Amino acid sequence: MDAIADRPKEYKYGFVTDVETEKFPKGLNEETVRAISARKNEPDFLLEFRLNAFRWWQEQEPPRWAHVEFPPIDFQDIHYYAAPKSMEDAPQSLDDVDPELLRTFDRLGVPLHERERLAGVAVDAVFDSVSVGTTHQDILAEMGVIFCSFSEAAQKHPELVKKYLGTVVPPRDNFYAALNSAVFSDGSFVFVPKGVQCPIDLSTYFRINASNTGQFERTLIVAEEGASVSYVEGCTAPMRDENQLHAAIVELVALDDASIKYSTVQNWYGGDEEGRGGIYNFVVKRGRCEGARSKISWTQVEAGSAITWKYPSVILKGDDSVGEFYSVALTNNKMQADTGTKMIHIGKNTSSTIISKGISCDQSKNSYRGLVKVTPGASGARNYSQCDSMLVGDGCEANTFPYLEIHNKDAVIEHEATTSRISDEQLFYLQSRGLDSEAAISLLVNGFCKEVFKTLPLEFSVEAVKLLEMKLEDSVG
Amino acid sequence: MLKIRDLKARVVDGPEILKGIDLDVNAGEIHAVMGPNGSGKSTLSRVLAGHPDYEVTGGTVAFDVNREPQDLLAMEPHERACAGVFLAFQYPVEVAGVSNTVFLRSAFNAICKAQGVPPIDAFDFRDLLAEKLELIGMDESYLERPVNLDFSGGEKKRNEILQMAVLAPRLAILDETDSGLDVDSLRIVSEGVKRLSTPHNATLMITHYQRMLQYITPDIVHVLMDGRIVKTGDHTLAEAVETRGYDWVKEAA
Amino acid sequence: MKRPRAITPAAHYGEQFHALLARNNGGEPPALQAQRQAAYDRFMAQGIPTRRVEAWKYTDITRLAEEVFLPIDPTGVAPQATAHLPLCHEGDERLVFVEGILQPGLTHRPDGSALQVSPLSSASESIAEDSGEPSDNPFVALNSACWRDGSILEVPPDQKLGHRVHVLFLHAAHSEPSVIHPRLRLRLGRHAETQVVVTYASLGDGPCLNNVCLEVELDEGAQLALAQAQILNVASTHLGFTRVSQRRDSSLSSMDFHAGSALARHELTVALNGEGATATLNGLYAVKHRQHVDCHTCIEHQQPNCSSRQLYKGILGDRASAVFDGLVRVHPGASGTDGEQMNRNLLLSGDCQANAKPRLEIANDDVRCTHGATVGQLADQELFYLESRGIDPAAARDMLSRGFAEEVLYRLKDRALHGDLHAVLDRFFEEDDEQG
Repeated sequence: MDAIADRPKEYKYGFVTDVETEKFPKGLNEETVRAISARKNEPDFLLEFRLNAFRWWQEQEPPRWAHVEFPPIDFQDIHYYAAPKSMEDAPQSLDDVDPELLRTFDRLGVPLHERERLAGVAVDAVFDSVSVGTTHQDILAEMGVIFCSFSEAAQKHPELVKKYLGTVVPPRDNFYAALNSAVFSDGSFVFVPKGVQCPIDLSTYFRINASNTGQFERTLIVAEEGASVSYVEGCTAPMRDENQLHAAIVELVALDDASIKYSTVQNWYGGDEEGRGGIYNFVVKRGRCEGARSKISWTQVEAGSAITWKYPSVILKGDDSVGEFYSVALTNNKMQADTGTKMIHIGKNTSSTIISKGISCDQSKNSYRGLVKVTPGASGARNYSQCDSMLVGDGCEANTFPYLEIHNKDAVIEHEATTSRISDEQLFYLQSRGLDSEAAISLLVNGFCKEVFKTLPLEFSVEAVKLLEMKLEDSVG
Repeated sequence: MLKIRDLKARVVDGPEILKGIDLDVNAGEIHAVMGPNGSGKSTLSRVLAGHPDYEVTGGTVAFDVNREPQDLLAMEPHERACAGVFLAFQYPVEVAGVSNTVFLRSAFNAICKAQGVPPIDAFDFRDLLAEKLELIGMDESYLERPVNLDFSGGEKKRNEILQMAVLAPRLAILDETDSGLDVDSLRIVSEGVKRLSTPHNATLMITHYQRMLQYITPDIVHVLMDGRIVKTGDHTLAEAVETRGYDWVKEAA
Repeated sequence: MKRPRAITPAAHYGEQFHALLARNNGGEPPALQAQRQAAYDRFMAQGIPTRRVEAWKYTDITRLAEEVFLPIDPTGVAPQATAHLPLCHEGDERLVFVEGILQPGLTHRPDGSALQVSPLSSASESIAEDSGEPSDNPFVALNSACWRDGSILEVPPDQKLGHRVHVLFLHAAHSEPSVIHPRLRLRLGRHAETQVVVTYASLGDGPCLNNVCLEVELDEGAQLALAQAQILNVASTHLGFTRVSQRRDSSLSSMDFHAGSALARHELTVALNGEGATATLNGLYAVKHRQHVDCHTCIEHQQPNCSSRQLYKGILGDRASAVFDGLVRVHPGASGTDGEQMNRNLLLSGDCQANAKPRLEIANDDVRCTHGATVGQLADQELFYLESRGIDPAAARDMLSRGFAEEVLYRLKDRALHGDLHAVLDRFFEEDDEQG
């Protein structure tokens, strides 16, 4: 394992954890779906939910419209459930968790031990298909905030799960949403009751470890009237030559005056210089501003995955609701990203902001794709979009595909986009003023991305900047 | 302060441009390097700053750091800057997204750190900037604008001199700072350069048109032709070149 | 069941095609007949695209699979009609086509004009669609199969035409639906210069399918000002396709104007194939009632140091809808590219729809590209400013709306056309005022 120390510029999370894993056999059929549900001892409504999704999924074909290229996925060649064996007897507390697992998360910089917890952040750690532990549950419980694994929520809060699951991303929304709805394994559940401002950031850390395994987690966050919460997810995976599928769903629901802030620092393994291996990150993330004056804000720093294909979106249903999307997507080597957002304006006087910064390096492809839709009833809708691309080197691609569909004359919609580059001449200029190449790149990246970085919680912002600098140095240097 | 001996250089994998330059610059001196197009003037300035497009094929450059001569050619571009070498670019580079203030403070503190001086805080730096802005007649609105982005030619050149004023180099190399300037900007920039000149630093002006020499009288003038310094003299040499042209120098040499 | 991506065209398309072949009665060279057949087969194979096809996402033409439009022979256009020909001016070199057939009686060729006009059927080379990359638009194939009286207009090298060239495609006053397939090839030699206006207009109220194909070739250093004015009646359907190919240092200035048709779609593709070529694409569409207009532009930056500028503006009233889909594609070798693209839409009514897809595809890091799109109504503060100077609200609206259009129209160097297009807009706004 120490071999990775010799290649610090490569993917530093690329180690494999040596734990015994229980996997279902490869392949997907109705039996697999039933077995997953049974293993999790789920209530009947969830099994029905899964089976309905599965039956519809079987009739669909995978979509191909994104500006990415990859060979067809053999959905029968994937394990749909993998879990560390030691979890079989479900640990009652973190102290019961396999020490090897805890060490894994320590190495990832996510300490789950009580004594080393991140100050001010509660963490749920998901390893392959299951949650291995959630911190700070006691403090949160006092305020009525529920923060637990999805499996636990299905057991302890079935009424809440039943009420909100699939209301933002219906199982038949699209091919991958249906697949996830049929086989989702675990994920996080957050419920913030009326009037409660969640005092600490909530965080989930996702880790794919087992080989030939898909990860299909499901996150559901509900903020009741006047509630607010800030949630952060981070993701890594080992370096493997094969491609692994990650098809998650995140659903957010904000009632009147509620606000949800969802931040992602995504650093799944992106494959090597030749484009071998890496995660296919096909994720459906969508929030629904159900209530008046509610607000949903997505921030994403996408620096990994062989292919990223996702559009964290907001349905602005409540009057005066607000949607935001702040994104930095960096691609290097032969990575491909087709990412952006959808802002669907339905309520009156809704507003949305889109700030997207794409950085493409090496031989990679980086596309922004976004939709701003103003429905006929959405009078007073406002949108401002800014989509900037930065090209590093002459072998990469940067594309911008905005869609504006405006069906109301009161709307004020503005979209603008620019392209720039990091050139050798620029680096020399900065260096000739006394900055070493690391400082020069950092200055350029920070300058390019500052509107996005400032929306991240502080400690993640620092992590994100470092992550991008590290990746860029390889491409520029 | 600067000792160049038999310096030879070329564009990477290209033909040789500098064919053996010898040049000595002492503290307190202002030098002018003149020469026709293609003589190697800009190459000399870029080689001294460490531009990656060029490679040195022979010779040495010694630059005094703490009174000890150091091998300038062995240093990275940023190390040269930290040691006190400053190149005012002929074509200053645009840097989107980075404001002048952030850029200048990052550079200033990088140099402080290299020299073992504690970094300056944001407030003191603002005062320092205000003082330097006045020196070259720029207003504060420059500070929040991205570095050189959408600046006019004159603004870019002034911005170079502002950086020079803030970073206070010991050796300033001005690469055709007088080209592309209107008369007012030329006067302001020249005045700024003159005021920044002290007994402890030195200036190397690279120029084709000699317009700046109307405002700044160099102590020593060199004529560079075909990669070699063919003639060195006092300021009257510049005047002679002005009236009689480079062909005269060629014949005289 | 998912909707299909294309629908098979009805049998009358075949009848139309075979009637054309019968009429020509083998009078055309075999190579041309073969090209027509190949194009027709391509049309049938492609079928009529549904909205599942990305390029047709916002424009539904599936009714054209069934709707019957047949070619008819022009009758009864008297030479005196020249006085009423739209957008015409004294001194124009004029070519007039009625129902797709060249009308010598209406045509005016000044003595000594350097412009060379020849029939496309006599061309030694193949029609461009077969030599270049075929379009994925089936109606381009249909045009290639069915055109009549296609023409080649050529300006020889180093010639600068002192007058403008005006080509009119008119649909006569028939009441039954008819189809025309205008086809022009415009070729400017090295350093040739000219202005060309192409007008599409109806002389009556009958519905018409106007299926146009324009091929433009600019040799080194050539300069072309090309305007297309589409002012067909509101019963018509306009499908336009313009392909421009530019060589080194050539320059194109295009004005794309749409105020007519129930449904209008124009695809304008410009390939910058030579270093230093520049293309300026201006566009203005003004639609109301239930009109639908769809402007697609595509600029291919293939070579270094080319620049492109695009400004498309739209004014939408009533239940009208509009699409702007613009693509700037920078190929790997096109260093020093400078591209700008802007689309602005002004919505005058609560029921209209504006769709915009301003796209950039960039595969070279040494580029300067920007694009933008806006949708909105007149700015309140501007209205207030005018009103505060004593201008009544209706007049203020009118003034600002015309100002919105003028931002594009003032770029026309052709002052006669500038005045004509403003007159078309006047009618657009006047009717609007009447409706209150």
